[in-house]
Amino acid sequence: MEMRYVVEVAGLGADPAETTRRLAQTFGVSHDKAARLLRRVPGVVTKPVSEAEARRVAALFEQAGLAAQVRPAEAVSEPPIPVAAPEPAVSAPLSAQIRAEQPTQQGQQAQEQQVEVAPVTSANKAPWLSIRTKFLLVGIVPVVLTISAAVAVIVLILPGVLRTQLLEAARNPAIAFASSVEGLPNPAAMANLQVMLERSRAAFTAQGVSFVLVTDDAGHPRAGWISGAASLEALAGEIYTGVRQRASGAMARAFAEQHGIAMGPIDPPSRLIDLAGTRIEVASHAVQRGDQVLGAVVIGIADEVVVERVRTLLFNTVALSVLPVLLAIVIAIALARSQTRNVLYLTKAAEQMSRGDLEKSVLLTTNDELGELSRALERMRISLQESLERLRRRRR
Amino acid sequence: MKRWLILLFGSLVVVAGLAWAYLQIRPDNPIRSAAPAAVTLTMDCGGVGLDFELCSELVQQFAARTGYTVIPKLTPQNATLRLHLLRELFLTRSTGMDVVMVDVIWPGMLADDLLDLTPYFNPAQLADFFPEMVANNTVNGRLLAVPWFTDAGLLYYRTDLLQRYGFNTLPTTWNDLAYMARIIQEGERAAGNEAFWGFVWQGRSSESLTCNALEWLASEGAGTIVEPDGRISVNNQASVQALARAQRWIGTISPPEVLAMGEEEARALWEAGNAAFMRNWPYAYALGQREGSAVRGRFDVMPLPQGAAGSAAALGGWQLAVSRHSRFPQQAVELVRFMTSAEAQEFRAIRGAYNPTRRSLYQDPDVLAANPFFARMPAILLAAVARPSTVTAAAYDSVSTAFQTEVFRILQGATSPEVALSALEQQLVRIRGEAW
Repeated sequence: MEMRYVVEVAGLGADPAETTRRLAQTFGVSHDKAARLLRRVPGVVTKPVSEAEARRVAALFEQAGLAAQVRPAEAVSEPPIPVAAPEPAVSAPLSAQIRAEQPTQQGQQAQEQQVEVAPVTSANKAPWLSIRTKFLLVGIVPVVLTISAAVAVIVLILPGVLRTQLLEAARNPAIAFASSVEGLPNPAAMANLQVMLERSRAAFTAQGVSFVLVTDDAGHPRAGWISGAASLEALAGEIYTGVRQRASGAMARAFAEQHGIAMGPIDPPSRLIDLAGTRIEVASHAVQRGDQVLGAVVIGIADEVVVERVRTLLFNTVALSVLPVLLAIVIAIALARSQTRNVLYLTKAAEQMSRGDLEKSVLLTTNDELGELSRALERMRISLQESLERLRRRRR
Repeated sequence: MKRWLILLFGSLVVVAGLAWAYLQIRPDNPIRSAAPAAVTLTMDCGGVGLDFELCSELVQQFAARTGYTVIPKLTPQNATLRLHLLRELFLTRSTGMDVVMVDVIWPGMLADDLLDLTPYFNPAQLADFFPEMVANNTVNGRLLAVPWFTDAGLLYYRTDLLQRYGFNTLPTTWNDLAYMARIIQEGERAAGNEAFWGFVWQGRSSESLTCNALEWLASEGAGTIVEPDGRISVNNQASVQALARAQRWIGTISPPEVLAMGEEEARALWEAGNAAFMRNWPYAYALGQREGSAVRGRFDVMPLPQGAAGSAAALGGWQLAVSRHSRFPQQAVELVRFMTSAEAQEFRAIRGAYNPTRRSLYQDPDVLAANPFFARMPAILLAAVARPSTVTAAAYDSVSTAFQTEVFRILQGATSPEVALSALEQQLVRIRGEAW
């Protein structure tokens, strides 16, 4: 915490009346007020303030011909004083500084005790947030939270949904190919089959399909194509093993259907063949003629396609959600400004009035509670002005 | 503070309500599916040889005794397809198959979806079974399946033809087999049977080919693809030679169609009297002796021929297990208990030459009368070579599929054994990853 200082005045000069007069002049206060202030002398005459402020006040006391001294507040041997937060306006006229010394009650003892009465507000309270900041937060926080939640949900759900969708997209052509193979006069006519499959090649490759294969009943590929490869010979290793396993799965499902063996209600999970980094999503469907299972159609889609699509979609989603966030911030700032402008204006007006400045009229013409408040303040200002006027006239 | 508590409680109530609603609309509601009154069981009865016929008869007996409705289901002949069928059923959490047939190599692969039978079978009830088979079916201390019948690869030979062509001894080695097969084949074709072949086996790339090829490899001391300690051993010179020899059979003593043959296709050719030798499982014995078989009374079985390391028979066999998704697990266990009882196994051994998994039945006079070769079976079974399913566990299917694929390509002549085995080794290393 910053060091705090107080101003201590050692004693009244040779001529207390003169000192009082000069003090009243220096501080621009009434003679009575100056006299009350001087009752504290010798002793501390300010509450703890910053060093610069203390020096300024001390200088003013010196001007009035008093021996003023600046010393750290901690040295004060009085009961601990709640340390005040700095006044909103440090450079407020000194009258504000001395406000604390004004009698808060009628009883004289209160002043005699020399207790520094710090403004009781704001000590031990949450950090000060302006109404404008609060307005801003109210405008932005819900939008940011909602959009983040939406993005989070999308990020969590999207990959799974997209994967299922893509698998579905592979399953349908697998079924279609299987039925067209079943429709061939002689399914063993591999040349025809190859021609038929090649026709689809360009279109399917463009969709990210890695291979379309027609296998025999042991799962060995007999016709089809592999993206980027001239012949089926390119199929080897794990992919070959995986293709055979998926073909067997499809044929087993077809067998079960033919023989009344009921599959369960759960969708089998997504199937992947892992090939040293490249993962391939596989859909398969059996080729049947009558109750004979002839083989299977196996279609693979590189998982990269899925990953790529997920990435693009996620990027777009995040990018698009940044837009409303920015918009929300701009709108919130504009709203906060326009909505708080009047409050700030009224606050300032009330502040000025409290300092005795009753010249400026309070003019707010909005048709709401603030307008009402403004008119009330204006009436108060006018009546205060009139009262003061009456008082002055009476003195004269 | 109080307000927070109310809020918290309120949200808990809302969440619970949503969860309840979700469970109501979820298709496989675990709460809603309370057991209906009538017990209906479905049993996987297989599809090879007499599998379905005998299983159905036993199922009817069980149904009559218990009053349950039991539906026998035909499943594919091809073991690979059967594995995938079970996988699809389990993946979709089907209640459509209560009792399933489990190949000797599957317990590790299917462990998550099979009911733990340990509470239902005490050690005394398992004492008669071959302990090796019970051990094979016990995964992490859980008995997942009860041995039903066991298998080992056998060589079937035509007693009449061996005699006709002057062979007084049986083929001891693979080379003996190839020689005799060629002589008999040439003679039979010259005699007018153009469809005759010397030796048939299972060359269709499926689990059967894995068994056949494993026998060739193991008999030459070329290992078992992956050794029990996890080492990948398949790429060696003995394997190259064994596979090259098998490739030479095709078109010479074995028909090119052998590459599309499973057990049943080979048996059909054999029972038509068109082969001198056949590699098959014991079940073909009873079927070959049936009325209508051209080889009835004209054949016998023997251990497979020897290579440099002696004779090697692949160990097969099937177990019965209860699906974890069954709606009637208690009743399904009863069915398993009945099917694996001495009574049911005796019935199957006599009618179908299914090798019992209970040791006592190999001394049963009725069983031995029906299958004289059963007297030699316990020795063959105990010496049989196991596929590397224990060490490779969940990866076994991929290992076997990769092995079959490469062996098949060698047999097709699409690639040389050296190239194929080297590629296979690399693939197996990738399948293994850090460890099996």
